[in-house]
Amino acid sequence: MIEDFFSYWQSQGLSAFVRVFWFFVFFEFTRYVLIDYIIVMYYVIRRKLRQRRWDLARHALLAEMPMVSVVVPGRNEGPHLFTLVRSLAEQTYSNLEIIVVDDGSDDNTAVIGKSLERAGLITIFVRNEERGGKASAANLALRLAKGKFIVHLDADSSFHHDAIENALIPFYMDEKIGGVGGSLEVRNREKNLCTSLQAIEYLKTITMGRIVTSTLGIYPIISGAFGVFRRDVMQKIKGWDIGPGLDGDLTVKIRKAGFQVHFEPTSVGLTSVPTNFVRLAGQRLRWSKSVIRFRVRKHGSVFYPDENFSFINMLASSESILYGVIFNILWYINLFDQIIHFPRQLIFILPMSYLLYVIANFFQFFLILSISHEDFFKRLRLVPYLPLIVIYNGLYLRVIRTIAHISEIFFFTSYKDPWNPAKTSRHAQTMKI
Amino acid sequence: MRPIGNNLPESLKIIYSPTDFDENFTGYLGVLLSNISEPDQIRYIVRKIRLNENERVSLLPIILHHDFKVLPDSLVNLVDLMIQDLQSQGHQVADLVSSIQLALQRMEPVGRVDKYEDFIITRALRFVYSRGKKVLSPAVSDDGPVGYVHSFITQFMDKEYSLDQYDILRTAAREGYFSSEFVDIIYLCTKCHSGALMYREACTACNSTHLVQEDVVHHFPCAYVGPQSDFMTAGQGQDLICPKCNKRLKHIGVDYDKPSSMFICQQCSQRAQQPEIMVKCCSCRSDMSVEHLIKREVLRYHVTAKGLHAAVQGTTLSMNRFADITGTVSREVFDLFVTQEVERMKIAKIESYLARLEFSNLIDLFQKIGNDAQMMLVTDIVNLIRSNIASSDIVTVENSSTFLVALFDRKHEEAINSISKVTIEIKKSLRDNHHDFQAEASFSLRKLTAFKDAGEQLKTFAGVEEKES
Repeated sequence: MIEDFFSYWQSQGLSAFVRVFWFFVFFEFTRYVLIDYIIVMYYVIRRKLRQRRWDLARHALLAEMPMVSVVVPGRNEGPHLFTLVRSLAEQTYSNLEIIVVDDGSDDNTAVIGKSLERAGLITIFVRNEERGGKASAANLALRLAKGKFIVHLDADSSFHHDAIENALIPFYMDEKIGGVGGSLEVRNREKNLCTSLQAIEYLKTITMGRIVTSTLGIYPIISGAFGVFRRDVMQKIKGWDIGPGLDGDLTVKIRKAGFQVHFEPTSVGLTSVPTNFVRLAGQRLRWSKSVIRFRVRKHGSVFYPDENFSFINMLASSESILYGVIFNILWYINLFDQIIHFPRQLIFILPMSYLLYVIANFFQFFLILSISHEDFFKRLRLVPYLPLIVIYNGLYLRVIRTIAHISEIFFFTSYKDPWNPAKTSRHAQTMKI
Repeated sequence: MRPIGNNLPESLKIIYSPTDFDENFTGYLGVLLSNISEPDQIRYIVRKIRLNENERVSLLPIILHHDFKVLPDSLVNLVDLMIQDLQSQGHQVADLVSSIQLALQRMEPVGRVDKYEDFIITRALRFVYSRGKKVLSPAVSDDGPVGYVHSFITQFMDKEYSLDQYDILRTAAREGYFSSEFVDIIYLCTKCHSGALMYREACTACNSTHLVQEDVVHHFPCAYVGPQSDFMTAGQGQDLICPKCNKRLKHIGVDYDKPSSMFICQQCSQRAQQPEIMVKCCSCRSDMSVEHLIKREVLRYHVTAKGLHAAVQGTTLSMNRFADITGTVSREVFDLFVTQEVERMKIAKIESYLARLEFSNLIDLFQKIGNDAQMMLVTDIVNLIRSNIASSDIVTVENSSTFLVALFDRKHEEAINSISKVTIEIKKSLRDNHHDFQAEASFSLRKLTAFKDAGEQLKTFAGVEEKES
């Protein structure tokens, strides 16, 4: 059987191979292996060359030591707050004020938050009796913040001890930078198969993917779980708008306001991810819908060549749409192409397709390992899961993305998402934002 | 003796005014205060009687004759009967006097009492018994700064030390003379123990009380949230205009709501949802936060069978209110440990010692500094002892002037050095901190032996083996 498989592909030749796997060769391999290797090599060299600039910027930061406001909006996040404040207390950058806004929790978050505030571990704890949505909670925190920089966190995150310091340094390297995204990894990666697969996905799409997009200047999204912003920039763009997908929306607003966004891989936060595939599907449906709602619908103007047109902003939005939406469609076209034109060869095509993606994943993961330092061995433990990531990424997430895109394009379902209160979503839909 | 009405016993001492008052009670079986209306005057006379050194005088029945509208509960608790008409209520007075006299006759004389708190509790027990009562109830009162008073106890104290009433009664309850029942909780000033406190909302950052409370407004369409003043634009009257999207807010619940409110400090601009609650003491003017206030449970005390027995038999009480001091153990635990050590000595070749440290004139200092400071001083002495002995050694406070130490597994020289050093350090500390007070200290040391019963060794410890001053 295996002999048949190999003899079949040997007999086909390169042109036939490319004809069948055109999507993989021209898009997937090119984007996720070839470009990754080239850009990461460039990134590593550039980082070394800019080391002195980094050191000077660090000195400038520590000499000024500006106040930094850590804002933590959330609902029913009480159980995570102590871990979070303990992680913040360990930060090498210490001039922090911590503002926690409880967005109408119906658990004991208020009790925990108030006691941490009384104990001096939280600077300001605000309890909103009425739930207003994450954007409103974040905006209230922004309104109360006094720091020069705003660090926006999810309450279920924790951070390497130098995460905030490393995220602040880029602001002192380039004054055009309005926001810096930190790298996010999965804290509960060893919990089960679902979290281990997400851990690999985060390494691929965040640690690696954002190094690539940031180096190219088209970094599209500063994660809500860990983003740092200049307060004056936040005031200029008037904070967060209604979600879901408010982090991607905010990143576009920063770009449109004329500022750059930067990804800082040495600034690492850990976040807890969904522990089963059903909850994960709910999260990813929400994320994927936001690509349509914000990138296409709300910020479609980045593609219009008007007086505010910016080529780099167009590319940044294109990247998300291209890889999130267009590539998805092309994958289906390629699949139907194989089914229609090579129905009898599918017995050889499908295993080869799987093999190609496994090999590509190994290539990509070895690149990730090559830029890992202290986390090398932790990451190495994820290698056995790599063959499964093909099914996870290629089928599971793709199906979710497809459902999300169709339901958002045709049925505007993100406005009905209970993640955001109906009273605000109603207005967002009326205003088409 | 002046009979003033029918049915009244002739042996009543009748006082018509404070100026009329003398302290000759010989032969009288009761005191009647007639037509004295000022509570302070009544209090003065009642205290004179109740604090009399002669117990028979202090327990005399006191009857008030007046048309009293309002009299403080704390005072009512100290008198036995209030009458309005001498003629018609004379027989009540006679019954009261005879029942109290009968009770007094049943009570054995009290032995010598060394400690003031023992004296107070003895008097209280005998007062309650002689009145046929079984309860010491606290009264809400402005007599003293604490708020609630056990007036029979506080009459023995200066007002500023009336917090001691709770500690003394708690000790008496722990010793089994009373059982207690919860009545209330009180909070007192950390510095002066006054209960006259003002509570105010204050800024969490600068403690200023100059705060303004504002609603927080959430504008649904743009998700802007901020204090209501953000939405108030000059020249727009009462209209609320969103500072983010410039839209006019129209309908609460439809396009905006007010999810919370916030305090804004007018001094330092700090914003907080929950202001600090600061307390100002009206007596000493100190400011403090509520977390630092002294909290005391106010209890009602019921005399137990042991208490009644002590009252009737005139038992000499010996309460130890120092049993809770950190670093000490109760006398029972001390005895238990020593017993175990003696058992251990039977199988192991070890030397252990008992030490007794006594300060003969410390009582003079206590009278000067008051009861609260006494507790602090005893705690300091315990700390000094503990810092000079091993962590495995144990200490118990026998009374405010006597401390017992068990030094386990120690050579004779080590034991004597430790106790000598402790004695010197305590004397030095007392001299340095109390205006050259020269403490008269002595200690005795006894080696424990495996050949004698531990109980016997503890009992005969008063017989000094080695004594140094």
